[in-house]
Amino acid sequence: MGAGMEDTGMKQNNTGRIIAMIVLTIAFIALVFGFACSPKNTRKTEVNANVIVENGEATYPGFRGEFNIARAGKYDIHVNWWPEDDPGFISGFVLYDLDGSILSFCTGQKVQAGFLPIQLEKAEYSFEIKIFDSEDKLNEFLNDCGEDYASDGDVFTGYRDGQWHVTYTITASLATKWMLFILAIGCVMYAVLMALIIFRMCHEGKPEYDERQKLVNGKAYEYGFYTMLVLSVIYVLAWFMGIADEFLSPGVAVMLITLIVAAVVGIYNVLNDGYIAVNAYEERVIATLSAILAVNILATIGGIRTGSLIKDGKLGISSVNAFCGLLMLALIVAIVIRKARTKKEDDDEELEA
Amino acid sequence: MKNLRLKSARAAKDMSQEDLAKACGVTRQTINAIEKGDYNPTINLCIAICRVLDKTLDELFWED
Repeated sequence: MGAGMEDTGMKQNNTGRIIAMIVLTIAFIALVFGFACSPKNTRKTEVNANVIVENGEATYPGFRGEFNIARAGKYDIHVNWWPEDDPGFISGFVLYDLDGSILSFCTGQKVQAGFLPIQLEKAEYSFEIKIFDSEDKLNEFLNDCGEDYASDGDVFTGYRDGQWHVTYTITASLATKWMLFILAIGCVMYAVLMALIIFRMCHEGKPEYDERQKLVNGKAYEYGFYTMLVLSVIYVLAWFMGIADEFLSPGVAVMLITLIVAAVVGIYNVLNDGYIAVNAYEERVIATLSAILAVNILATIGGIRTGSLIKDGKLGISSVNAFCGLLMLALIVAIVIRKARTKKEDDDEELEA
Repeated sequence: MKNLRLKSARAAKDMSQEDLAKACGVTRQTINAIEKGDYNPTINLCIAICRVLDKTLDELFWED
């Protein structure tokens, strides 16, 4: 250890840091996949119906029910009714939006169908099972739904009296294909990043700052602390006035304040040569920041694609990735500015010599 | 106040700021800040610099 680096008697154990990072990585990946596989992501309803058709009239009045969507997002809706005996009537399934309008529907004697992903909010959605014992009733329903069935030419001719037991299964599951893909990429990149950082820590030792850099770090944290105070007060005032809720949720607000504080601390450190430790390689620091920037750009693109960047005019959770990317970019730009300034100092020193 | 004696002693040894910094275990920017007078080093760093440059504390850091 150089004389410029003071031994405070409080040596930090690198092993503890490494274990903490491994535990954090495992916890993060578990959390992500726990979210993806959560039972909250799927809602399933079964309706058992005993349908009797007598003299061309079905006695079963149909069924109206609800299912509770616990998490907003795009859902795959699957409907299934496949009785063993071909029933003498047509069944219909209707999914209603929160304002009572028809979101989607399907009809058939036997059906195993899936709809295109539908955006659902965190709410209770109602659905209806309808029984059509005649072509007229079916046509009337289809016309109400806006379909010109009469011109289709594909007419069901199996209407007849009888008794059938039908089980209607409706499943709404969060459309996780893209989400899982993005989450998987995110987890892999996070794990690789952690592995690189742990590898560096094992081979280079803990970062060591000289006495001047420690003073700079302290000053940076001081500015960061005051920044956090000011931003928190601003947010609380905006929240009391009812302005804050129009733009962002409390969770996003906390993350944004944290990122802005990190930016203040980081940029101050960089510009005053307190960021890169004595035993650190500047190129690796820039590479790490660039990798984190790339991950956040991908996550932001994913957020734009899934519509979670800005939702109903409010900053969504994906905006945190966007701001994190901006933070990384700001640090990289600050490092470039500092390098240019250092080069100028070197040139001036050569001239003086 | 600029520390020109430090700069001269360093130049006499044909060392760059980077060389002196590495020898003392600090960053080049710290040595630059000391020479410019922007930073007052601790006694430990002063001693380390004196050892590397074969000078005494008075010769490098005492104010005239």
